[in-house]
Amino acid sequence: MKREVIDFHSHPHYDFHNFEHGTTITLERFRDDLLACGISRACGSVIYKSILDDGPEKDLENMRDMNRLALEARDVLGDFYIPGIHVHPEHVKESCEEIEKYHALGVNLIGELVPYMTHWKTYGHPGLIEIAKYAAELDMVMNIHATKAADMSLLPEAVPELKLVVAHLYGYGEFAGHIEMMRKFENVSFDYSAHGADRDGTLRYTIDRVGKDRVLFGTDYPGVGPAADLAAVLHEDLTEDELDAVLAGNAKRLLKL
Amino acid sequence: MYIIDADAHPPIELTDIDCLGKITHEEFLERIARTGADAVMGVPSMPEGMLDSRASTLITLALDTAALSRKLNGRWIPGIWIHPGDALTSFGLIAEYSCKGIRLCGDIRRAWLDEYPAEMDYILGCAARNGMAASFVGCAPDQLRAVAKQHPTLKMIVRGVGILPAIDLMAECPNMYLVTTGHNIGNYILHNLLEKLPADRVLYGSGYPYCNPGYQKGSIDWELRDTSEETRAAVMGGNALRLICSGGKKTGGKKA
Repeated sequence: MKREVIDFHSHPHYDFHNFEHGTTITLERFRDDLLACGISRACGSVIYKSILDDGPEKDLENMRDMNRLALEARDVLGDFYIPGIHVHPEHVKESCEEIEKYHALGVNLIGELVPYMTHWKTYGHPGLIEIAKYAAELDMVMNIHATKAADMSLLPEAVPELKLVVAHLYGYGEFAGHIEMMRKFENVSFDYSAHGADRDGTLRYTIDRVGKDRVLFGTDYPGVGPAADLAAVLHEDLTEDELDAVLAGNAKRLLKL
Repeated sequence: MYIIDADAHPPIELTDIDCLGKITHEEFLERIARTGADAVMGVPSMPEGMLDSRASTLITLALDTAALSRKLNGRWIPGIWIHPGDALTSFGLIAEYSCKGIRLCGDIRRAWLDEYPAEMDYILGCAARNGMAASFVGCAPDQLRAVAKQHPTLKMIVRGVGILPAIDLMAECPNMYLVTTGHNIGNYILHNLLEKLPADRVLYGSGYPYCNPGYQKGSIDWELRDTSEETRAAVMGGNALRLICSGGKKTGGKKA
């Protein structure tokens, strides 16, 4: 039987390749590439290059545009794509309105949020904490880009009930800090995307310390080749139960799929 | 398809992988075999203190390398460590072990080319004369270009140079071979640029134990998905085999 695989971390409308080597990732290519690698469904937020180039004065407009595009992508891709929306800590009221609007449309995921692309710096931002409390009330999941563990920990400290998934398990030289975060905050999980698998045995090591329910498979596609992370998971010494949890079960449980 | 991981470094005794702990060369090869690789190629894992090596270390290491490669019986195409801090010993080891069938030395670092230009010139000249390839890691394009021009018969296996610089370098230097370690991670990059590289001089490598071999193998499979079977076979092992067995003479490799 074909194994179910949910990519918790992907980005439709990602257009950086257009500038780097001229490859356009259409929504159809987004779906077909992931399917070709054995991935059954994909989650995540829209990201495109101009949010880096625009100044903070366009953050609100860009947030709304990316959220609109995420819903349009779901219209095109159907059940294959599970949209994630953006929020912005400098725009609390508008972010909560976006949450309310999209939650009513069946969206249960916020993020991946990428602060360095949208002109904010800390996960201890009071605006983000207020937004996160509202998201937690709605039992939504928030996916954030990894930074320093000490800074990321400010969010679950302030909102321990938030279902928080941090991206890039092994990445950014903070692997030990990531494990410590999961031990300290039971509502914190990590996804395995981009740098999740930089070292052999990362997943086995993590599961041995925090259990199989705290890591979610992800790729960060299209920024990263989608086959690599899946091959890395399958390379590890995991039981069938552990594979099922990491590759799909944990995402289904958190997102109530 | 016969697969050679052309950037893998078995431990003489044990190597420490942070999430796995210390593993033996048998465990090392078992984990590589999971990726489908039939053999690995490279110098052994860097022993502690290698960057400050002395002659006795190099000599012992070469003896151990030869002994282990015999024990592993074709699963490891070994390279010997050299060091410009002891150029005379390195020279002697290249002369001796090339006669014993070892065709690779390395892993030459950027700092060695900066700090020991005369010694490296001496060692690399010896390698070229003895038909031994040399592996280079993290060297700057200008350094590699200078070596290639100084030693046009030296087979240079380079990694960590960046794929865009590699396109220019390989066009200029017919004696240069690119190992894919790390270059195949960015989505669609190798896929789109392979046609600009001489595909008969591209070698698959994982960087194990310093990188995750499952990840690297999944990545290269994805990036080569639209290339011909012939080119894929060449990149995944045929080019490495030809380089080591025939000194790099072309035996039918084609551009992608």
